[in-house]
Amino acid sequence: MSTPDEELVARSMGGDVESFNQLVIRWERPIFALAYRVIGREEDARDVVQETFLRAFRSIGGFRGQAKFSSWIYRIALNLCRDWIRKQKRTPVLQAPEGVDVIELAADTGPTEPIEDLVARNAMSAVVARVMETLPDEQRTAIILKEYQGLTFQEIADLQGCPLSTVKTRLYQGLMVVRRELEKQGIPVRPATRTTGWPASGGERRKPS
Amino acid sequence: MNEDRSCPSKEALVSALYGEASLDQRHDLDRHLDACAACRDEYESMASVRLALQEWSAPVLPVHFRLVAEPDPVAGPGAAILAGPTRWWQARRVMAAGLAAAAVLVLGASAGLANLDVTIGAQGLTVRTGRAREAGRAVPATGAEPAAAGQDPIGLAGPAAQAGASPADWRAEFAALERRLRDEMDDRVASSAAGPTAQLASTRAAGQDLLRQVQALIDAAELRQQRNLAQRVTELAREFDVQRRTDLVTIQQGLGQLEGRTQAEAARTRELMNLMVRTSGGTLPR
Repeated sequence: MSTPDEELVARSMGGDVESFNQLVIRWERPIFALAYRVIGREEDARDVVQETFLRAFRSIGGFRGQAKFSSWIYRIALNLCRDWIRKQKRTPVLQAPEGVDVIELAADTGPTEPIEDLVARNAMSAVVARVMETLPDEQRTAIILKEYQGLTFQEIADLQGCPLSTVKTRLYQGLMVVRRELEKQGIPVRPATRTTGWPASGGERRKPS
Repeated sequence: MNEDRSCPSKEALVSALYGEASLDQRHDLDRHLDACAACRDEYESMASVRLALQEWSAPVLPVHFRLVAEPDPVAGPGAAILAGPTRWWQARRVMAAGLAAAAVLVLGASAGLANLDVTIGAQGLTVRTGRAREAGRAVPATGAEPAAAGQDPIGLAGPAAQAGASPADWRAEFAALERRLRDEMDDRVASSAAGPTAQLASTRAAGQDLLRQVQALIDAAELRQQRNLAQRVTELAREFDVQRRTDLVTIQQGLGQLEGRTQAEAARTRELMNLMVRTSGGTLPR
């Protein structure tokens, strides 16, 4: 069983760099996924990840443990993303290549599905990314935190500094905008039957074992 | 939608959609959705949007970052740098040392390039260019003309220089002045105690440390560049491979279409032959 975050944080506060490195390994992917989806550029997202952990390490003495370590580090990352967007003074630009993500397509493990499906999936990924760009910041961040990071409504409310009901409203409005924009892109959003079930949120948040 | 008073609020729909509704709320909603087509449609559309959102994939972070403890008298305990592919975040503390080192290097290099000779004596501060000194040294051997006006020592205010004396006078005065200044400097160095000497040694040692740090920075930068280059080359190779595979698929599709057309053409030809055979009353060769 892996060491809990709280214990690693406590050790890090005592100056144990290796414990902090375990936290880095545990959380770098979720933080990177968050930064990538918020700012839309891989290189800059990587920088944000590094700066996030540097800041976290420098200020870990001030971490009082009222919130979870994940919430704390998400807050640092989101603040850095906000700073980045403010500095850029422009809407996030997706680095995703037109249609096909060649790097992912040529992953070392090799494709396990037909190349046509891969192309279609990557094309769909780019479409969704473009659609997400059209959302207002608050709605986009709420959807990213819920859909991809798997945070609870309460955690998102804490991070965004707004009431719980506002988070739900942002999610609702955001989903409606995404639906409309997808349909504009020629992708009809047909109602899914309730019996089929839908994906559980927070794929990126699951910790590595 | 949601206009009927009995219809659930959008917050309730969202709660159920993300599995954060209580069991009772969920049962109530299910009952309502069974009866209300409008709410059911809205709810299921949102679920479909969620499915579409799952298609948005983020790249996999290629390199694990790692904190490296770095004892530092300035930053104190807890100072660390994050190792990994770097850009603007690069350890600022190290950067400050690097800047200082760079400044020293630039000054040193500039002084070296200009070959300046700076002396302080009774005449005040004297700065000479290297070419002037070389010219001065060359005089006894070659008897060449003194340096041009632009290469004259700066700050020399001797009588010969002021009066526009002959080159020989100027050289003699210059050599005398240089000897005097050097003697004075030697006297001062000799008269000073071991303190300044030790200080000089420590300054040299600090300079050496600084140079070593700068060298380490340069090495790290080179390593980083090599790593980036290797990564780019790998990506390029992958892109090439993907392009090749995409081309193969395209060719395969093209061949399939061609094959289909050929088969259709063959079928038409066969039909034509059948027709000809039927009309001529013969039999079709197998």
